[in-house]
Amino acid sequence: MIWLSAILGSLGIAGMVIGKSLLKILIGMQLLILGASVLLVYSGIVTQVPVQGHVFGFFIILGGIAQLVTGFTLSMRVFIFKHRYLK
Amino acid sequence: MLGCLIGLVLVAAFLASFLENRRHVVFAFWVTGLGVGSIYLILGAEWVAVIQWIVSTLATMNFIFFSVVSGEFYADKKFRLPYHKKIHTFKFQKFREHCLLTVLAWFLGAAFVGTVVFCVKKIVFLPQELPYSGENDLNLIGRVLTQEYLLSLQLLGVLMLITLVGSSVIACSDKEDAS
Repeated sequence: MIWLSAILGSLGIAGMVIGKSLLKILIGMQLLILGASVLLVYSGIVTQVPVQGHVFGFFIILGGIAQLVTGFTLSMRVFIFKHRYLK
Repeated sequence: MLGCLIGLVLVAAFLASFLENRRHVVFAFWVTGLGVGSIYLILGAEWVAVIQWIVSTLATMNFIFFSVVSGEFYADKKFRLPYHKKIHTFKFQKFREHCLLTVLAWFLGAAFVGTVVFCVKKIVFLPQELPYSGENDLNLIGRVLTQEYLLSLQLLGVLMLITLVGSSVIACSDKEDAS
């Protein structure tokens, strides 16, 4: 399971580095956050403190939501600028 | 089951990272989130699994909106006309066949990768017996959240509030847009 989270994080970083659009970068960040939450939940279960792992995973997921909202907002602003100046 | 889910997640994450078509990327990301939620469910983390499913589905809907509004429309100027033409000549028969073929290909690919992972799991990385979290009731999680991690919860709430207000300020149209 640790390998799964490592591969998910690596794929997210690769998507962020290789991706040319904002959508690919946002999805890469989400994959990175997904891998981190998998690692936290699994390590909490393995170390016999599952509730702490669940809570940390919950925090990570909600932090990802904040990142997603900010990215969407910036993309909407870019869309408005393109619509206004590059028409 | 776990091998199939891990295979599904890995294939979907790989496709989400390296595909070019935006719709396919978003669909692959959705499958990744659902698969990770299912892994949580198998591990006994039902609460995080439900949150993961909800977040993945809502994020996928937002990604589709994003890809339609600011991705595909302005992707390339030479594609504007074919895109509009494609919208106007939309045929449900082809769309249904495409969806069926896509779903079939996904399940076949996931089953293949899951079978391969299942066959080699004794020598690779999968645990032989899954750990299962015994104490997982919502009462305990709520007590831990509101007693041990109250400051973190409050900081998270303030962060979400700042994100909401800041996003509203950035995304709202100014006077020049209104005119």
